Amino acid sequence: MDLIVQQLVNAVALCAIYALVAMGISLFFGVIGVVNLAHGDIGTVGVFAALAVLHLVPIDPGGGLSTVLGAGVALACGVAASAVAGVLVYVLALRPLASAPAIIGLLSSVGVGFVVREAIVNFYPNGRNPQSFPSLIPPTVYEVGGVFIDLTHVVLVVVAVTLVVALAYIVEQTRFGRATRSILNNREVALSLGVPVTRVTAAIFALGSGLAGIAALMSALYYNVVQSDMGMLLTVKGFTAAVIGGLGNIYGALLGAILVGLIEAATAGFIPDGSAYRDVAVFATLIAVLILRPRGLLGRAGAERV
Amino acid sequence: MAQERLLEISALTKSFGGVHALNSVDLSLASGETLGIIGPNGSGKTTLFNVITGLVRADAGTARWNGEKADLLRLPAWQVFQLGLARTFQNIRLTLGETVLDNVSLGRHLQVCTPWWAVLARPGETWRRDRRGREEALEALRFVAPHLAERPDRLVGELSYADRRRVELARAMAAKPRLLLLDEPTAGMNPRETDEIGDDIRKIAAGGMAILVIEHKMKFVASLASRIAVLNFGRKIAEGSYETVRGDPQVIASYLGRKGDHLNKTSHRKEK
Amino acid sequence: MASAVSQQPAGLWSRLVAQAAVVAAFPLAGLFLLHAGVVVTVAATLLLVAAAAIPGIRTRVSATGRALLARSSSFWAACLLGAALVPLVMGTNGYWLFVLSIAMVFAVMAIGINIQLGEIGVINLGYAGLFAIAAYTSALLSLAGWPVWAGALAATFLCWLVGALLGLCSIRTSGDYFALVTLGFGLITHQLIVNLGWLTNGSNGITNISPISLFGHTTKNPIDLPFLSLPPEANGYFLCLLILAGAVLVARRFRNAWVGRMWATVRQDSFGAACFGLNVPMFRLKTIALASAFAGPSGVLFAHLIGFISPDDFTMLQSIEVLAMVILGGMGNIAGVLVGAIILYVAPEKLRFLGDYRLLIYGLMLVVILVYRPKGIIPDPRRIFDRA
Repeated sequence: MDLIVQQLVNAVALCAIYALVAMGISLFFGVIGVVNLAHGDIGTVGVFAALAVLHLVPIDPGGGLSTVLGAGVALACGVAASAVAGVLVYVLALRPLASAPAIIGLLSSVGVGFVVREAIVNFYPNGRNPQSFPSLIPPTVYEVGGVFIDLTHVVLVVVAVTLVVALAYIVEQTRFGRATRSILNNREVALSLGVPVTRVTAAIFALGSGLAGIAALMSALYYNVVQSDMGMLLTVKGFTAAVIGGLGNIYGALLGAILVGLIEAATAGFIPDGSAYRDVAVFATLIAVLILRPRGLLGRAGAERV
Repeated sequence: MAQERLLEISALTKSFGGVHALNSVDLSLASGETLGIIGPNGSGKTTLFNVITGLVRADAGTARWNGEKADLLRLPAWQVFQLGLARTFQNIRLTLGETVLDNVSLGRHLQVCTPWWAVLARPGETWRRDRRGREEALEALRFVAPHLAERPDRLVGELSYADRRRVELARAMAAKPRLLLLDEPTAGMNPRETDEIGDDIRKIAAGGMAILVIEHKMKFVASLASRIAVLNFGRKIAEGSYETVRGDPQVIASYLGRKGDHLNKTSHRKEK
Repeated sequence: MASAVSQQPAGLWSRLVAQAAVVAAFPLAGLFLLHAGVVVTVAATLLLVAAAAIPGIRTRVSATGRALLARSSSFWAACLLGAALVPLVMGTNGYWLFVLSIAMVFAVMAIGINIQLGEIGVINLGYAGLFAIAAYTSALLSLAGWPVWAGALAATFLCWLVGALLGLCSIRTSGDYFALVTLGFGLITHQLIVNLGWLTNGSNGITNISPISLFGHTTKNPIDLPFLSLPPEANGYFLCLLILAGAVLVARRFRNAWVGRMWATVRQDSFGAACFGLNVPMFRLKTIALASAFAGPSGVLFAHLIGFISPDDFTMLQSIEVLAMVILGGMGNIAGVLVGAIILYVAPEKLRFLGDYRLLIYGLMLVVILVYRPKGIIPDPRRIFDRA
């Protein structure tokens, strides 16, 4: 019983990471109808940016205010880098293909992913090898009734929940959110109603990519190691989560992320030799959902491509 | 003499998101008969065709073909075609980058297609059937539009609008169907072209083909069909000869607006 | 078969000269590979790309080409003859022959993908999975004592079968969803290869795969002709050329038959095809199965010519590489696809200094081509009227 609970607790942090990725993916698909397979790689840009800042700017490891500030600046740079990268990708590689079949956009995003990964490999010092990411959160472990909970996990979950709530608020209550929802509903109608679709979409990309950056940073803090292709796995798993929930539906993405995290943890925890197969389990789930229920559990909104 | 009912549709209903495109429509057609379907935009005419030919699934109703028990509406489009129904489309659906003959040959598809393994293992047989199919397609093209049959290798994309409609017509005829469904065959044509297409269709009907034709132009339909059905908002509101229908107050009100005066103008029909 | 709009048949002599030029082009290209330095290569590549990109030059060249080589089968025959002559000019160094052999292996896969992507617009992001199935099947069977040709048949059949299963999935899923299914398939296959160590030897891969032998002559023996001795790599070269020729033949046969016409019709208007008797989902399934079968011979040749396979040879990278060949070459056009395959595989070898940046350039090229020239370098002339 303890083991099960422990696995669940471990899984929660994973769910948090996937949730952030999945919501961005769902959002993008909803507004431009294109599957963006470079999403995770854009997050990786943020991670390496943060890493660069951490290495270049000497941060006092003492643990005081300056450390926190330094870490905060590095993380903020990372998120900003991701957001900027996301907007660039939208403007250069996705928007010009708006009138082409969705598959072309997908292929283009695949190309972008390659460019990002290889740029990191070639232009970041020692980019080919995995890099260690400093644990910015003190490695305190709490024990609650026999179950061990990492402070890192707690922080990640808290941050994720905050972001999800914030995102929900933005989408439901603000003017920007209203514009977003109108585009999600019907892009043509939104255009004719005077919504500045391109600008809003660019802003959505900035927002979603920033989330991807945060997710990648969380992954970096969780595993303490980063490498140039860490984004690919995030993309595929985030995708699975988004598809399970229904592409275009951000609450579905949240639900899907929880399921994916659980599947992964269950496979690793309960099947002997499972950790090798946990990715297979997730991919197999993706295929199964695509075949059996392509609209996902909560159904999808989405830009209907003419 | 009781003619055998070729197509018998009862209580056909189809909604899209709460809007009734078709609302309990009854229609029937005898062999060799031409039935005209008219109605304002959005009255459900094209949906009717789409449901009959299996592109769209009906919500309710049945369609009996040739007196048999099987329900037409349950079949997918390719099986409906096999029974002997061929159609044209309101916005022309041809492969523009292919030649006229290639497009018309689509009508002979069932006769031309061989199993996939045979394409590799029996090239001679495949080629022979292909050639025969193309000859038959050429015959259909000659019947409908002799001037197009003289240069069958032109790309469809280079043809005029009216000629493209003729290619579509030839394609449907090449299938040697028992029922021809024509969806607004004269859309976008000037009066002269309309008359020409009308002649082509009458020629086809004279050969004994059963035709279901959707049109806007009342007088044009009258020149083709002995019976006309009028749809409005998915319901059939009138049926009968041209005189019956044009005098029907419901038809006048819905289709032509309150002013029905121009109905009483002299018809521009070409007297044959 | 769609004939071109209007052709003026040229005189007999001009046609013969054109054929001879085609035949001669190949050995010349071979010499170029062997001897040309980096600068010359870069200059030549840029010139070629520029020529291909400027519409005026390209249309004139292709119009002239069409007039001179009126029957396309004679064009292909000339190409085959020319390609067969290449080993004669390559001297004793088999390196380039080896590179060309592997390029042809990828070209066969590109033809398969072209059928899926170029003809009916189905995208497969996991083609490397099929490649892997073929390579591992053939390697394992030959290690178990099966003759290579039997293993090849088994591998091809298996690829066809898996393709049919994927095709089955495509009935329920459409367009980009199906692309994701193939992505998952490729990833799963890769993971399974790595993890099922008892079968595949995991990350270490399979070594010592036997070379192909025919009547005692293996691919490791040099070919001794009366006047010349060809290096052992020439064996692989001729074998690959034979398989590639077969692949082109099969692809053209289907394209010129009713299947090819149906591909065009389904691509532009699947409703129309359905209304004239085509069971479209089934048709798509069979197309995907056929396209997948091309990975069979590729995988077999790959395994036996290199002699060593490992999971790293079958990642999404390879899937994208083959996709890029098709996109670069112009989707739907067999000749263009072959050109794309050769360029994408051979150029990096010639421009070795690009080495590490190769993938970066792939990605950039993919995006740039898709944004600026989605129809590829040698677009299919039949597609001028296609939408988007």
